[in-house]
Amino acid sequence: MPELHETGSAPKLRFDHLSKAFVSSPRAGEPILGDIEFDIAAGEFVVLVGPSGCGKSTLLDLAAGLTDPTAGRVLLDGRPVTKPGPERSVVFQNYALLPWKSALENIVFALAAAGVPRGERHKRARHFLDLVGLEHAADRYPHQLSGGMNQRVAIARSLSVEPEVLLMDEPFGALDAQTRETLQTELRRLWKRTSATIIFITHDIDEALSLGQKVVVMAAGPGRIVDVVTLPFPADASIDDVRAHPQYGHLRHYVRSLLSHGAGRA
Amino acid sequence: MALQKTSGAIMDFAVSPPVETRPVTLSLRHIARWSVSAFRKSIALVLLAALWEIAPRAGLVDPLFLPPLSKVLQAVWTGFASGQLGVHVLASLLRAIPGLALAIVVGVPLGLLLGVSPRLHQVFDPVLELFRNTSALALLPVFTLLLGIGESSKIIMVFYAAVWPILLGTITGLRGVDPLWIKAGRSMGLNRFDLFRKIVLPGAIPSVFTGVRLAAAAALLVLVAAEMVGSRAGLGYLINASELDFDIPGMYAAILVLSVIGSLTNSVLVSVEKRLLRWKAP
Repeated sequence: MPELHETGSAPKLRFDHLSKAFVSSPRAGEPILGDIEFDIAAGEFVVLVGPSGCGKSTLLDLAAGLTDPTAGRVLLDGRPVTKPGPERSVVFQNYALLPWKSALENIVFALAAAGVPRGERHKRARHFLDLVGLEHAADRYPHQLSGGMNQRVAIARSLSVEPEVLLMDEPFGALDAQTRETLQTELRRLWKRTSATIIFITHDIDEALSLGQKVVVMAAGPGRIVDVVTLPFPADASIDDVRAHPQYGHLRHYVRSLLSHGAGRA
Repeated sequence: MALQKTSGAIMDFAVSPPVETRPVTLSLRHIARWSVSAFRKSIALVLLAALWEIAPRAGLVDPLFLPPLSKVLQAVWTGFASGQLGVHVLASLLRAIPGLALAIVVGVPLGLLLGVSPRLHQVFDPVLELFRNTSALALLPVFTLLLGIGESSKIIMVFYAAVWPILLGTITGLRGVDPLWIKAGRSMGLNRFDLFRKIVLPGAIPSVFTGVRLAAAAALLVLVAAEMVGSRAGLGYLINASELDFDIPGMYAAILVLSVIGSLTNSVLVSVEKRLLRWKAP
């Protein structure tokens, strides 16, 4: 096994021969993920793309410490992940906001859970609502907000605990195309501003190619990494610029063929 | 490596317009809408009252057996003025409220216990089903034999009728908590106790409250029957006693008071529910 602390460029997050099998009865023992081996550097924006059933959400749960691996481990700064922690924050597809709490209270709730002192919570929650452009909606309940607004609240909630790693599980999957594109742009901007490490899951090729720096292409049966594509687009390019880039079409075709090839074998 | 907070908000966020806004001011339009709904809700009641008044007077029904509404209202008035009706209302309430309170105190914790432990639920479910489907009225003689004809047997009757909806409401509430909320709570690092206290419990409250509301209705229903069968006070007793005395307006007065108490209880509970659960989508 390679030494982790030998240089300053040790990975932020390392998936170390990671495997996961079903635990409960109908499919117990059947592998979900087989021997995942992958490093993510600090500040990197990595997008995982793959068909449903390729274990990409499981991979994220493992990184979040929400579930235990069958074999191997997840290392955060060289230390094994065993449980959730405030240095990793998850954004879920269906927002996972508590419906009985207002937008502001939902963020305050996360800050309380992360151990932020009581006196600081409200100020900080307002700051992060402001950051996602929702200061006017602080006192509204999730059912009074649109899907896009709810996801902004959820993103603000995740950012408010100032995580080192942001884990995003198809966060824009339930949104309409226009809202989705707006949030993609905003997310890129937030990432550049915050220098957080982001792992983003999607099954949308265009989203995968235009958001991050690396695209990890996965296949199902059992879940595995087929290729890692490092994107050639400049970090400050807008999503429109990225999509107009001469290599975009070629990369899109390549990733698409990997995905359909993987699906064919599964 | 924590996020660098900067004072300047990201411009695109700052200037992006609100997607939707719902003003919550009280306007003329609100008042107009409220009036229309109040009008609609009262049409049928007014018609019923009119029919009740006219039918006996026009000879469509025997006024001896169904006196006009005005006579019944008069009986309500004299009943309260003489203090007699008040005594019976109080007697009923002093059975219904303790019985319902006991049902809440027992039903909610028991429901929580059975709701969090599927195994325990599996063990007790058959017994619970059996009890739940045994009419409280059928057990009236049993309670009377065991507890005598005093207050305690009636309070236990009410308790028995009220505890099932509360118990089931609590169990259903716990089952209905969205697993995603729990997953989110876990990802925030909440321990099991906090997950329960801060996510599961508040998430279950709507269903618990519905259970309490159904229990209140069941409590009144069973209480009146119990009072009719073996009691010296209470609205159920009064209905029966008035009929035997051939005080027919008095009998309808007691029935009317009972209906009003039931409806008021329900609407109070509904409004508390709405206030408590204003976060719920309408």
